[in-house]
Amino acid sequence: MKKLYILLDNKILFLIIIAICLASLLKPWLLINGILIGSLYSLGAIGLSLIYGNLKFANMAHGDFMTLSAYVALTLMMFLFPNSENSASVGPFTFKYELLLVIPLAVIIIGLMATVFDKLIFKKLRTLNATSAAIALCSLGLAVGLRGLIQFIWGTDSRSFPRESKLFWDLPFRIKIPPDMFFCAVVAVIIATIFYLVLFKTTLGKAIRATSDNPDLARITGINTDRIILYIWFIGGILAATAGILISVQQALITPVMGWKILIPLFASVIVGGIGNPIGALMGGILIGITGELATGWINPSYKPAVYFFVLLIVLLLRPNGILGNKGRQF
Amino acid sequence: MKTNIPIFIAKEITAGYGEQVIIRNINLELYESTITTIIGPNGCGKSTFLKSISGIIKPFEGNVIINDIEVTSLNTFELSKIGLGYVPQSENIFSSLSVIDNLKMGGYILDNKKYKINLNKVLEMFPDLKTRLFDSASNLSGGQRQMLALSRALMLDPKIIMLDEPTAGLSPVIVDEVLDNIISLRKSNITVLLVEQNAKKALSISDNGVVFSFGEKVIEDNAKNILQNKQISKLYLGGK
Repeated sequence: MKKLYILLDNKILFLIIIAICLASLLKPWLLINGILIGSLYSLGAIGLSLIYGNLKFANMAHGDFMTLSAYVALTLMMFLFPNSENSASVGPFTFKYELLLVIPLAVIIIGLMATVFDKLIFKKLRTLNATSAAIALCSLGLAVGLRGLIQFIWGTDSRSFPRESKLFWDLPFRIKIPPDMFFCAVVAVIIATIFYLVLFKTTLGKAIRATSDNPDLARITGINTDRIILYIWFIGGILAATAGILISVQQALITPVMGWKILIPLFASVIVGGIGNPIGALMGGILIGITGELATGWINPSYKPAVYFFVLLIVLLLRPNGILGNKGRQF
Repeated sequence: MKTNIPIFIAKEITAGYGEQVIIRNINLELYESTITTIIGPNGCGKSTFLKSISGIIKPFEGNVIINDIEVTSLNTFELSKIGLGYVPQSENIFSSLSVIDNLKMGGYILDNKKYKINLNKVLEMFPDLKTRLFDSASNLSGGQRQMLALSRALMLDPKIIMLDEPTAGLSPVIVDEVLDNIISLRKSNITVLLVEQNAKKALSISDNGVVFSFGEKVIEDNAKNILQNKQISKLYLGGK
């Protein structure tokens, strides 16, 4: 209630909320699309925020982890199930059953790869007391390197998971939902919920938050913070990979630059929600998703990144620490 | 039972930040169930000494031995396992966690059974925390924060506990309460190494006193002798 009051107390923010509500009433299908796409942004943003909240740098390679996960899942599918092109699709969805088996494998592989990157690169930088800016620049280097590797291995052409065309779900108020989009949003919500429960209800989650809060004190307390950081990379990798695969399923497209392109709405989501705050990242993702989609009802969709930055600008002008940023570090 | 064998030995500790040396060749021995207070002017290296013992900063030179185990090369998180507790001067609680979660983190390496036993033990020692268990630690008063910081450190049954200015910023009544708690630690056979600005009060509850000046140990004696020494009193205890 207090948060709602803070939002309503600010006239400009209140007007924006009214504008979003009006636009949603005029074109409700865009609102639904926005929520569904926003849930995927949220998943990616939570992973990004987790890394930032604990390691204090913006991981530019997060988007390319997402891309890599889609290619790894595609390769696993082709390798483990070479005949999946001919198999049946799952219920009303376009993808094949095999994809459901491949997703957990690919997600774990990317999670483990993220821990390897930490051991090989980021841990060394931390040991050398590198600044956050230097570590972020290294992650940019890793991002470019990963993209190059992806293009070298899988080529520059776009790909997609084996699929079968299916009809959209026709709902009242001209709302048409691609079934895959609904599936992806549900999985994103489930993963985000599991992540929330891990972070706030388990000892490991509390140790992650303690490490983020005060790493020296965590060490004094007996917490092996190096190990906790590996868990953070693993979880961050899992969240990035899940988001990456779901986005490639939802868009029916895998390209070497898909993760890089999505980094803009992800960063916008993290900053809008309040850097380092998981609930903020979730809210930020949904808000960015909704405003981006609603804007396409009146402007060319290619201007969506401009809308993200506009929302980012407005939120930061009104609440410099983001929507939930006033609580400080939350991880 | 008190013995004459030191359970803590710091040998020739030289430490600092970056390349800057703050403390030089500090030697110190602590004995079981005693309170030793380090006093000295601001910036003389008292806190740096504690940080170098706890591994927060690695000493440039010297060794630390606890219960006959050489611990200088151990990681900070491993020191708590061998019985060294440390309560830093500031940011000594996890303010984004609840009180109970702070205590849970204090007992992070304990199994569930031992955690519950130790939790009950520290809550008996600090009953004020019982009513605030599910509050955010950031909402606690200064005194309660110190209680929580101390409780967190006690969750692992330390043999030695280092307290860095536990009474800083507290009202006189709460200062007495904190000092009473420190006395009760000694009764529980815990060895206390205390760094205090409130030197007179701290020395009055201590067995031994150590005076630091310009990064070096200049005096080590019985706490009573230090309190009665007029020159020390004039230089470091605000006496005339």
